Amino acid sequence: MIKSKVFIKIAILILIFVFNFNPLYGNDNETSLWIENLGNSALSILGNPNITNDKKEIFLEEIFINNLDIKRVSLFVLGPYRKSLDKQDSLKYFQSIEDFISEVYAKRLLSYPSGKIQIIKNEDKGKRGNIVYSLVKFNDRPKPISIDWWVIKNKVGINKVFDMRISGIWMAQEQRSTFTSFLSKNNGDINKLINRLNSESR
Amino acid sequence: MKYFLKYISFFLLVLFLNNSTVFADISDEYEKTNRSIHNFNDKVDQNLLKPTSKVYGILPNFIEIGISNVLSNINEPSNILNYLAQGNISLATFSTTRLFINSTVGLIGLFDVANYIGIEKINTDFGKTLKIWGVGEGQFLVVPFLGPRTSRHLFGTIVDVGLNPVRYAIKDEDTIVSFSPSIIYALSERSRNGDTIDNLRETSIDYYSTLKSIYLQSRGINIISDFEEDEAIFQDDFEDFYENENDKK
Repeated sequence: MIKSKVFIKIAILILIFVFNFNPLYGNDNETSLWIENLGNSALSILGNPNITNDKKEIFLEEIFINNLDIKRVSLFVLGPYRKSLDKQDSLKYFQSIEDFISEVYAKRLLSYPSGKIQIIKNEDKGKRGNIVYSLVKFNDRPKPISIDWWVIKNKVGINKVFDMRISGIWMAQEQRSTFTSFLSKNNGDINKLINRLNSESR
Repeated sequence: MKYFLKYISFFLLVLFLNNSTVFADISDEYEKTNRSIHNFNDKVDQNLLKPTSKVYGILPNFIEIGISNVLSNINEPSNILNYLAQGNISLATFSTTRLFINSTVGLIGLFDVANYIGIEKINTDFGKTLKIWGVGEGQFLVVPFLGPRTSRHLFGTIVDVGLNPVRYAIKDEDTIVSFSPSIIYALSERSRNGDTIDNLRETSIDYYSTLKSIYLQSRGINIISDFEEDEAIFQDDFEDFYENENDKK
């Protein structure tokens, strides 16, 4: 009788541990909520009739600068050329690409109207972070579009977006194809890439 | 029809036997030629499709959606045949149901009633059927007026045209990078995706590579093989990138 009581207590403790203290379970919910808030912030800007398009673009750029893992994206898009990046070039490159990426992403998002985001599921990718799957129902479009968010925590535990898949297209992967193609045509000269990025952004 | 079937059989045989060409990883060996054709397609888009699609875009939204729905409905028989060839009976039944509902209640496809009751469209083609049969992607190509294609997809397109010439006279793929031979469909798509296409064109440092990446991703082709070479991207924290890299050196 005593043994069975101990067994039940241990079983209850294990159940409590599994369902309430699983850190991954908690992370999943927290990441999804973070994405929902982030998506709603962007959509509320897109849907605000009192803000001009130029101002919307500036607000969206701010959102990207604050929430994108710009440094990780910047290095990822260089592909194999990342290894040849020295300290001096890195400083110039990071500044140029932050302006470029935030501006490009904001411009692309500007072509969408206001809408509502719905989180579908959250996939844990271990050390590679989480992928949060969402559907966005835009106000004047009959079909919702899927937007998936690749989220990675930095070393202090803050969520950052590494990549976004809009209607099946990963944006950082697309940028990576473009950057590596440009570099291969220019003998891997990172300064030519920096000049090009500067000429493309404001 | 006889000649067509003979041609297809011969081509299939070559595809299956010539592993070196077909089963190789996707590559861009004809990049120079591809870029020339891409420039040609881009000029057609900018000088012909873009201005004409703006006129087409004046049409009220419901008419545009109606035209798009009819074109989409015509594609359904081809979906059914391909799903059957893929051995996917459930999706073949799904497409048949869509065709039946939209052709009757939906007034020859004018209204996508099936979508309203939860039977959403899922497109397929002979290129995807070949993938299921084990045929590799082959080379990356850019085809005049059609846009980006892998060899397998291009061959699939030829078969799809043979199976359903009516469809291809007026309807091509649902992708912004596809460049339809059909003026009606091309206009409809150009008008629907006008902002996105212009945006991509303006914000890309290499428009050819952008379209190539979008095409390959939309066909489910992994450009980066499972991120193996990029494992460090996920392991490191790049807040102190310079120090880390210098330490390693």
